Parts: sequence; structure tokens; C-alpha cells
Amino acid sequence: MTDISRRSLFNLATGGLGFTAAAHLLGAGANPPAHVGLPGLPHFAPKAKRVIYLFQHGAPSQLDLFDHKPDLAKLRGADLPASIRMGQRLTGMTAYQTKFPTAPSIFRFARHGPGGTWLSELLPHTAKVAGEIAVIRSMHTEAINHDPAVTFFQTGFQLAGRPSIGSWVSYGLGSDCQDLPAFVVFVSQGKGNSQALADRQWGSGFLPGKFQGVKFRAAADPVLYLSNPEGYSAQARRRYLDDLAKLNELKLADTQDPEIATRISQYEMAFQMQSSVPGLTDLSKEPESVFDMYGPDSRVPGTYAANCLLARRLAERGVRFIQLFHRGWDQHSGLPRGIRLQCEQTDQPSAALIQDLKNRGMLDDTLVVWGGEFGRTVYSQGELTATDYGRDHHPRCFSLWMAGGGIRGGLTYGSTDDFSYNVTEDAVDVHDLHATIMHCLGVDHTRLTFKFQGRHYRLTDVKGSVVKGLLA
Amino acid sequence: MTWRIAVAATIAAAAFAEETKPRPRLWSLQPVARPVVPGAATHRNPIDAFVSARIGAKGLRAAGPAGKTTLLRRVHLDLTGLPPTPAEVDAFLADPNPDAYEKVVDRLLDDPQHGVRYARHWLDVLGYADVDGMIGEAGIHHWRDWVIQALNRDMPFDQFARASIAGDLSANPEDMFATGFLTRAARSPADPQEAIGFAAVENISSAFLAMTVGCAKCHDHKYDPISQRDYYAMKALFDPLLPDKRLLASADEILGRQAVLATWKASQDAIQARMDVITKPYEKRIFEERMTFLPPDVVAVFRKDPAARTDADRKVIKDYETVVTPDARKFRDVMTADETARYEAIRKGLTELRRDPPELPAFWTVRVDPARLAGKNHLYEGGDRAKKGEEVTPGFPFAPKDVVFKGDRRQAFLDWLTAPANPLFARVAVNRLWQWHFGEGLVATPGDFGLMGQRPTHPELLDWLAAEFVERKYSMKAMHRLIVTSDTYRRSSAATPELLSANRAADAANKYLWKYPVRRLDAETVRDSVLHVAGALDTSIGGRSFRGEDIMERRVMSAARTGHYDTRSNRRGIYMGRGADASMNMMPAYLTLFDAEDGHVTCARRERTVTAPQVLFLMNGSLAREASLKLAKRIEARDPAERVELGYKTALGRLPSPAERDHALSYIGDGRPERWDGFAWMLINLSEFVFHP
Repeated sequence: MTDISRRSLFNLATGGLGFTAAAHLLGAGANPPAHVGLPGLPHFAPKAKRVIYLFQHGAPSQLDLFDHKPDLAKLRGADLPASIRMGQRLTGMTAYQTKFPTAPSIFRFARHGPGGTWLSELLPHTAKVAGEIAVIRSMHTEAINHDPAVTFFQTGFQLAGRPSIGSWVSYGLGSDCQDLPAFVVFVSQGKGNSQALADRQWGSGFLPGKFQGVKFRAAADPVLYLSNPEGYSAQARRRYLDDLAKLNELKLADTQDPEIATRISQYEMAFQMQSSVPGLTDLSKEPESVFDMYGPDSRVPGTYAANCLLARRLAERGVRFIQLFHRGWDQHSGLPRGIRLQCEQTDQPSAALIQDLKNRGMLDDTLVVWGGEFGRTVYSQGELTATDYGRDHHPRCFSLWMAGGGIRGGLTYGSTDDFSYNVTEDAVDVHDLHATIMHCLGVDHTRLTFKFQGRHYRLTDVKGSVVKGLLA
Repeated sequence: MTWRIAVAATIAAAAFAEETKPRPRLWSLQPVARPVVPGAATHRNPIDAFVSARIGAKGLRAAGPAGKTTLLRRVHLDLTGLPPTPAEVDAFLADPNPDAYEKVVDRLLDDPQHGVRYARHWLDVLGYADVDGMIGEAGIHHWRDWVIQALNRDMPFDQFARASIAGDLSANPEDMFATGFLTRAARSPADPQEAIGFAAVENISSAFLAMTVGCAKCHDHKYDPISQRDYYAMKALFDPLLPDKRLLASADEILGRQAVLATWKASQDAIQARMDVITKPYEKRIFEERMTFLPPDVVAVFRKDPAARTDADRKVIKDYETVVTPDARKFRDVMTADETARYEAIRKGLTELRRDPPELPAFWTVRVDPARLAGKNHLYEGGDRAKKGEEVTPGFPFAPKDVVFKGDRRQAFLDWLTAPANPLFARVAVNRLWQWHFGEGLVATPGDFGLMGQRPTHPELLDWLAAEFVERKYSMKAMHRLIVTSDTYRRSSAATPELLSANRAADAANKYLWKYPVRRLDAETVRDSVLHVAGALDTSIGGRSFRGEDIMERRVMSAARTGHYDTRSNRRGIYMGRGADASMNMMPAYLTLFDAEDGHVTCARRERTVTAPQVLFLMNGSLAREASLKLAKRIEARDPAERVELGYKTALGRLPSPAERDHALSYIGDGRPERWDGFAWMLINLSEFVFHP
């Protein structure tokens, strides 16, 4: 858009055309903040239009939630057989132990939903939506420590530097939403042991900066500096931004630098967010029944429950990739108490999100993923007592669930040995999970690539197969 | 006899594999040979000869020189992290001498703010944090200040490395502070002895060798010629070290210490006694209650006369102790509401008191522990401390065969590290200096000169700079001067359509530096610039860090953890407290927003994202808002045109173009104060304000 038209549109706006319309025209004309996606994508008709990924950071115990091993009760306290452990590496934390006492879960399990999905008593709400979710019990990963394991889940590679899954998706498919970022991240704090969670986990790596996840803060004010200073109306701000854009573009013409162009577009996004975010986070119009469904925490900004509700609101607004990280699952000791607290915070809102999406007819085209970065050991870390045990990191098998767009509900997929130590059937690795998520979005994971430093990269590196058995 | 054949075949295969296993010949391990400068006669500065040769070979067209004001702003932001003042702009424009630019460079290198700026770069590389569970948090800022002073004094880089790795042995007592690099790793409650060794191997090899030796902790390096033995041999250099607290207090403070501590302890005991009065009646009851949950045989053990307990009994007691011992949470469950209220009120006082122990100023350095020095050093199988493997003797990766360890083990390593013949030491350092001047290193992976890292874009230039660095006695300032006075550095960053179309096919990413690379300023420089143009920046040097606006005083930078923090939040960004913690946020939102790292691990290159929340900070953040009001007041002048000029000069170090001037004047209109505020706001929100020009 030329200087003159931008300026004159503004004048028109103040003269009566209507501020919003002018702003929209300006935004769309000069620097569309939204990205339309790559030509040719999606590769085929998608089942899901968007993803809500509920990352349970710290690694929840599959043994106490999903992977029911009733026979372990008889082996309580017995040393884990060497035939099962097979000399696998341990983390520095249990490597000191001379004994590996088998610690059966103290929680009761029951079958739920039409598929008879096994779930523990810690997940009473998830149990109510068991018919919607597919529990994968045969996940496994290569990493044994938190940061590389999260990096692997986020980027398909254990070392930092590659684009995260959300930025791949927004790069490939663009955004359906003009006034919010295509990839939004929330981090909430659990009540247990938390591990560092770096912002690069939602970075765009070598993809352009505008595809990185935008982290909303865990506070009543989820985006900082959103409000105009006192005495500045949105209209005044619009005028400033138009002037600013004009001056910036004069300079951009000199340097032709893509990062400067990105920055100009971010002013438009920032302006859009000034009006969209308050509406997004204003829950006053949500009926009482919604808060009841998500639980009392959903009224407390920054909690997992509040973030689940915001995730639904973002999904309604067309945000492509919404990722929640809930910390505190790292129960090396005191697991029974710790996991109970974590589940109190997460079970109800996770299930509510599924039910809420379903009620609104959105579950069909929203893919929901729930899971951590690895599993936990069957043997107790630290002492096993009548009421207490801990569990160390365990990458060789763990559980994760998916629901919604493209996924067959009520399914239990894959199995593990009697100790939930090794996968015995239908192994799913991280690349496979990525390939499957992409598939639900109508993307062939082998064909969404980006050339960087002489090589074509993709989320799934050189691996990954779509897990057909999970698909509806 | 088939099995014999099979065994023989296996042995033969093993021997064959051993012989033919290609030992990677890393470019970075080849000796630095000072290359001949191509076409030297045509270039004043050899850097330009190397860069031009590559531009020519690739068929690229180079941009012309940058304008004077662009260059001044560039070199100011680069060397001091602060934009030039209008007076500095005027002086430079008014200086017709051919060496006007060189004089500016000399002035900036002599400016104490130069050390502040480059210390921030080095502290990323070395991994500085104010808070990270380290035992030495309370005095860690002395390490930061040592780096600033060392750079300002132009300490030769070999001495800088020696002090960082063995400052405790230096003849200069101040160099003790450099060992913050080592003690930084001593995090409690993990055992500090082992932590120092592990972190020293990893941090030294990444900072000074750009080698990922850390990958050889659990197994031989998958790509580079670094064995697991090398890792533990290098760790053995540091195994004798223990963290060592040195008091920095006066004699009087030290003498009075016992009394102060005794009072502090007595106050705590008094409070505890008041709490016990409330809980005592419940202790027995809770114990008995819990007994009912336990198996009878366990109860029997608890009921036994303690003197009659066997070892097995004691094991049972130990197992169940946590179950039967009530804690504050349990007491709260059983006490009456009134009791709970009183109990909590008293307990709060105790928490407060414990939070603020009477600390003497101190610094944690290292000392050699004779017992550990005499002990044997071992490799850990799979990096697992429980699996002591073969014994190792002190050494390091790439060591020559004939290293003699005499005196402190670190000396032999440092002699090798800093020797001119070391192919990595100077190469890695000059690559970093280059990166800080141009945004990217000649090797784009400044922390990895191994097989998985990038190859240099200009290998001859890298070697020439490395040789020159040795020649110039490892003077960093000499290298800065050499680089920033090159034509390559002084090129325009503007890409005309003609240049773009000429170069797009061969080098759209500007790897070969046909123009100066534009890039976003780092977190500290954005903030410093905002405060500086508002005339509100406190440029005093050194001292304790201050607290980011969103960092909770109590939780994060509490007196107990870091010593009293500085209350002046208008200081330079290097002093903004930062760090990592597993369970709470220690990074100010501002720093995270602009991609500063928390220092938990070394950072060779920061991300440079450009996001909507960043622009919101400059649009609406109170710091930016207050700064724009101050800037508007600062640019008082006779008439609006002059005032607009002064605004541009103050914020951007240049005069407005006629189009910009007209635009500003039409915006300002009748000159109401809020218009000037808006004008100032716009200046600091321009992309130009936050980009290296």
C-alpha cells in the first residue's frame, strides 16, 4: 500500500468510514499479520483444522494412570528382574541404587467407556470421556532427561535449534485468525517438582521468526504491555501505528531486510492483539456451567484449568496450534501424593476441554493431544514404603492420549510387558506421533520441508510413519 | 572346528575395523598457517582483501560505504552498546580529518562502557547467572565485574583464559574473582566436588575450544575425535578442587560476626519454642493415630525399648519414620482454628527471620584439596557416578603425548591451551569477536568447531585473524580496532534493488558480507538505548544486580540468596539479575522477551526473534512510555523543525530526511505537548531504533 492511500484511509476513518474497517483494510493491505500457508497445503483433506496439545511437563507415570499391571501387586518389593532391565541405562539419580524394588501402583484401575479403556482412579473425569480418547500405551523415546526429551517432542530432534511442531504447522498451513498469533503457548505451574522449560521449546528454529509460538503469561494479564498508556485511545494508537508503519517502510525500502519486515508485521499483530486479547481473556460471558465443567481453578488466571478454557476460546477464534505446558510431573519421590495433586489440577479441565469441544461440535476438527516427554520406572526410586514410592525417568515405554479430529475414540493402542518396562506391541515413537498429527491436519510429513544450509529439513527428520491404527 | 574359524574371523574383523576406522581430520585441528593476503596492495586492511577475494570469486557485487552517521551509530552500539549523543554526532560530522573515524574508535575502546558491553558477550559464553542454586550466589557479581575490568584493561586473552580457569593461582589477588567461572557450577544440594569437574570440562571446552567435549561424558564422541577417557582425563584436572568461601568483610565485621549470629540463632529458637508449646499436645496423638495404620510387626518395632532394637529394627524405623513424623501440614489438620492461626502467625516470623541470615560479604572461589589431589581419578561408565570405570590420569582432548604435569594440574593444560601452536584457542576467540561485530561468526556455530559444526565461510581470513591475534599478544582491543576499521565493517547495510538482484542467486543470505548485516539489537542494548536517549541511564559500573520489574523480591533475589540487590533499576541491562531455577521464574520477562538466556548453560549465540510481545513492550511498556516523555522534554529547541532534527539526532544519530521531517512536522501540527510525546514515542518505536544499522 502506498503512503498516500494509508494516510488517506486513516483520514477517512476518522471522518466516518468506521475505524475498524479502515484498520482492517490497512492491516490487510500493507502487512497482513496472518500467513496464508504454503501453496499446495494441506496435501489432502484434513480431519483436523487445529491442534490443542496438552503437554504434561516432567513426565507423568504411565503405571499410575494408564498402563494397568494388576499382576505386579504380587511382586511388590521384589527386585526388578535383570531379564527385564537388560542392563538399560539409568539416570544419574537411580544409578546409585543397589536394589530396584518393584512398586505396583497403589491406585485402583477400572475399565471405562465403550472400549473398556483402563484408567486409574486418579482420572475420574477423563474416565467420562474415555469413549473420545485413544490411549497409546506403547510410546517410547530416545531421550532420558527432561530438556532433550522435551526438545525431541517439540522439534523431532534432541539438540536445540530446529523448528518446533507448532511453528512447522503454522508455517505450512498458515493461520485462520487475523488478530491472534497462529501458535500460542501457555505454561502453568503444577504442585510438584518442576524442571526448567526453555522458551526455545516453541521457537521457530530456522523458519522465519513470525512462526514461533507466542507465550501467554500465567497471569490475569496474559500478554504484557497490552494496554495503551492512559489517555491513549485505540484510535490514537492506530494513528501512531500508521505513521510508524509509514516511516518504517521508508527505511525498509533501503535495507530490504526480512527481519525488519517481520517487525513491521508484528506491530500490526500487536495492534490486533490489543483488541483481540482482552476479548479472549474476558470470561465474564462464559456461563456458570462452563466454569463448573472446567472446575473452580478455571476462574484463577494462570492455572491449567483457566488455560484449558482459554485454549477452547483460542480454538474458536481459529488459532492453529495451541500448546499448554503443565509443569510438576517429575515425581522422583513422594509420587502418590504428587501425582494426586497433579491430577486434581489437570484431570477435570482436560476432560472438560474434550466435552466442551464436543458440545460445540468442534471436537471433530480439533486434534487434542495429552502427554509428557517420557514415562516412569516400575521400580521405586528411593525407598518403597507402605504408602510411598518414587519413580525415575523411563523412556522405553509410556502412555499418551489423543482425541478429536481424525482419531478413533475409545481405543487402547499398543502394549507393554508385565513390568511396563518395554513395549511389546505396536511401538509408537516420537516421529510416528508427529507424522500422525501432521496426517490428521492433512499434511504429508515427508513433504513439508524447509531448505536450510543446503539441506531439506522436516519435523520428522528421516523417520516417522503415520500410525494408521489410531485413525478414525 | 567351525567355532575357531568364527573366532578368528571376529578377531580379524575387529582388527580391520580398528585400522580402517577413519579418524576424522577436522579442519579446526589443523595448524593455523598464516595465509598470504590476496592482492594485498589494493587493500588498506587485509580483512578487506580476504572478503573481497571471496566476493569476487562468488560473482557478487559489494555495497558501497555506509554514510557517516550510520557508521557512527553502528560503531557506538557495537563497541559500547549505547547510541551516540547529538554532541558526538556533531563532533564526528564536523571532523574533516581522514582519521576522524579511527579517533572515534579509539575513544570508544577507551570508554569504560566498552568493557560493560563486551563483558555481556563473554558472560553469555562463560555462563553467568546471579541465581542458579549455586552455593556462591551471594558474591557472584564480583565475577561479572572482574570480566568488565579485565576487558577495559585489555587483559590479553591468554591471561583472561588463565584467570578464568585458575585465577586462584594468580599472583594478582583480584583474579580470584575470575574463578566464578568454575564455582558457578557448584550448585547445592548436588555434590559440589563432582559438579565443578563436570561443568569445568563442558564449559571450558565449549567456551575456549568450541568443542562439544560434554558429549563424551557417557561414551566416546560420536563424531569428533574425543574419547570418553579424554573427558575424564580432563575432569581429573579439576577433581582436586573444592569450592572455597573467602570473606570480603572488614576485620570488625568478622569479629562481630559470632555475636550477630548468636542473636539471630537465639531469636529463631525462641520462636520455635513458642510453636512447640502449641503443637506438643498433638505430637503424641498423631503418633498413636499413625500407629494404627501400620502393620503390627512395624508397630511392635516402634514400641520396643530403643536400646533393645536390632539393626533390622532400625531399618524398619528408618523406612517408616517419615510416615509417623508429623509436619506443619499435619498439625494444621488437627489443631483448632485458633491454634492454627496463632501457630501460623508465629511460623511466619520464623520464615522471615530465616530468609535474611546475617551474611558477611564473601566470594566463592576454589582451592586445591590435598586429599582429593592424592586420590585416584576414574572414568564413570555411561556417565553414571555409581559405575566407577577404569582409572584415568590427568590429561585433555587433543593433548600431545609428552605433557608433563608439574605443580597444579591445570598449569600444563593452560600452557597447551594458550600456546600459539594451539589450533583452536585463537581461532575460536577471533571467531567470537567477529560474530559480535557482524552478527554471525565466520564459523556460524561458534560453540562447535567439530564435525557437526559449520565450516568457515572464509577459512583463510579466520586463520589470518587467528595468527594476527597471536602476533598482537592476544590483545582483544587491537582485534576490535582492526575489524571495525575495515571497509567490510564500514559497508552500507542498504540493499538496493540492483544489488539484491545481482546477489540473490549466489548469496541471498549475505554469508559473504557483500553488505553489512542488519540485525536486531540484543535485550540489554534495546533497554540501555531507550534509557540512554531519555537521558535516564545510570552508567555506573559494577556492584550487585538489580531486580527485574516482575521478579518477586522475596522469592528470587532475596537477601539470603544473592545478597542485597541494587535498588537502581535504571542501570545498564548487564546488571539486571537473571538466572535459572527448577521451580520458579528467575528470568525477568523483559530479558526472556528479547531472547537473553538464563546462563544455566553457556550460550554461544543468542536467538534473535522478532515478535509481537516485543513490540508491545516498546509500544506500551512503562519503561518505554516514561522514556518517551523524557525524550520529548529533552529535545527542547527554538522551533519545531529544529526540535524534530534534535529528536532524530538523539534517538537515531542522524538528521531526518526531508520526507521524514515533513511527515513529523505535519504530525506535530500546532505543537501540543502530547504531539511531541507521540513523536518521541515514534522515534523509539522505529525499527531503526532496535536494529544494528
